Amino acid sequence: MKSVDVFRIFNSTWDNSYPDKRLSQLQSLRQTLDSEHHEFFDGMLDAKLAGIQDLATATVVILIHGIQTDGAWQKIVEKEIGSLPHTNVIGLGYECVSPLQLASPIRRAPIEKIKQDIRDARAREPAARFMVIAHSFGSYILSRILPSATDISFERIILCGCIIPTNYPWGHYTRQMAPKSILNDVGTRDFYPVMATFTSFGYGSSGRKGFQNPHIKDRYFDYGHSDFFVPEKKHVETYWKPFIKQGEIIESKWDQEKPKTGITLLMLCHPYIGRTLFYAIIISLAIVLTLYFL
Amino acid sequence: MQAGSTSRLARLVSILVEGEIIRREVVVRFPSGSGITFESYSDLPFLIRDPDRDIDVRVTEENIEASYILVTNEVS
Repeated sequence: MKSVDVFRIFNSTWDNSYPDKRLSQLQSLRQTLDSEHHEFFDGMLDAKLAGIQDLATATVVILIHGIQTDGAWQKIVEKEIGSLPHTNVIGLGYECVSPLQLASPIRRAPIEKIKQDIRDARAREPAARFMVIAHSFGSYILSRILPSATDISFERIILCGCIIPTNYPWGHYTRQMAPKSILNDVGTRDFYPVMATFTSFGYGSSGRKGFQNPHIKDRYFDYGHSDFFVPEKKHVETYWKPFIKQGEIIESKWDQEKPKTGITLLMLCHPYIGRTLFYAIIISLAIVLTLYFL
Repeated sequence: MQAGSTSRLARLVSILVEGEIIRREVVVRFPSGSGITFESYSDLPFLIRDPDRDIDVRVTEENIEASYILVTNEVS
C-alpha cells in the first residue's frame, strides 16, 4: 500500500462515518495498516482534528526529465521553485530509456508510470493548482498523457528541450487553460529535437524552432539542449520562477537577436523531408558498403 | 517546507516524529476542563473516567487534541 492509498482510505473513512463513531472507525483502520504508515496516518488525524483545510493557493509543480539528464536538474529546480510559498515540487522519474527505445515506437512504460505518479499526486492534494516542467523526452511523455488522461490537467506548462511535434493539437488538449499558460523555451543551439525528428517517428523539432502557434509562447535562448539548468545562467530563477508564481512571462532578448534558421536545418526539422533524406542516406550507404564488400 | 495541504502537513509531521525531532501527545479533555494525556491515538480508550466529576466520558473527535513536544527540550 502506498501513502496515497492511506490518504484516500483515511479521507473516505473520515467523510463516511458518523462523528461519534469516527474515532473508533479510524482506530480500527489504523490497526489494519502496516506500521510504516502509522505516523502519516496520525499526522492526517492531527490535521483533521485541528480543522486544517487545504489552501486554494497550494501549488504542485511536477518535473519530468528527459533520458540523458536523469533528473539531476530537478534538484536545482526544486530548490528554487520550492522556495515559493505553499509550493510543493515533485520530481518524477522512470526507468532508464535507452537511445534504441527512444528511437523505437515502444515507449509505453515511462508514459504509464508518469501518468500514475501524477494521478497519485493529484489524489494527495485535490485542491492544489498543478503545473508541470518537462524537458526533452519528458515533454514527449507529457504530450502522450494529455490526450489519453482527461482527468489530468495543468494550470501552467513549461517545456524546454522539447521534442513534441510542431503540429501537436494543443488547442484540443488544453482547452481549460488560460491564454499564455504554456511556455516553450527554445535553445537555438539545440540539435537533439532536430535529430529526434529526422531519425525517428512521433517526435518534432519544437525545442529548436518553436511551435509557432497561438496556444504556445515560444521563447528563444542561445542555449544547447540542457543549458536551461546550468546554475550560472540563472534560468530557473529569472524565467521560470515568476511564471510559476504569478504567470509572468519575462521576455528573452535572444528572441530579437537570434540568427536566422538555415534552409538545411529547416528541411531536417520537417518530419517528412528530414526523415526521407536521412533514411535515403542510410540506405544508400548500406548499398554502397554491401557492394564494396561483396 | 511549507504545508499548503493536509497531506503535506501530515507528511511533514510524520518526518519530524520519525526523526525524533518532536513527540506527539494526545490529550483527552474532560467536561470539567482537566484532561489526560496519551502517547498515541492507538492508546485511546472508548470510555474514560473524569476524576473531577466522577463520570464516564466517551472519547470522540470532539474532546481530543494533539500537541507536539520538542524532543530536544526534554530531559534525557
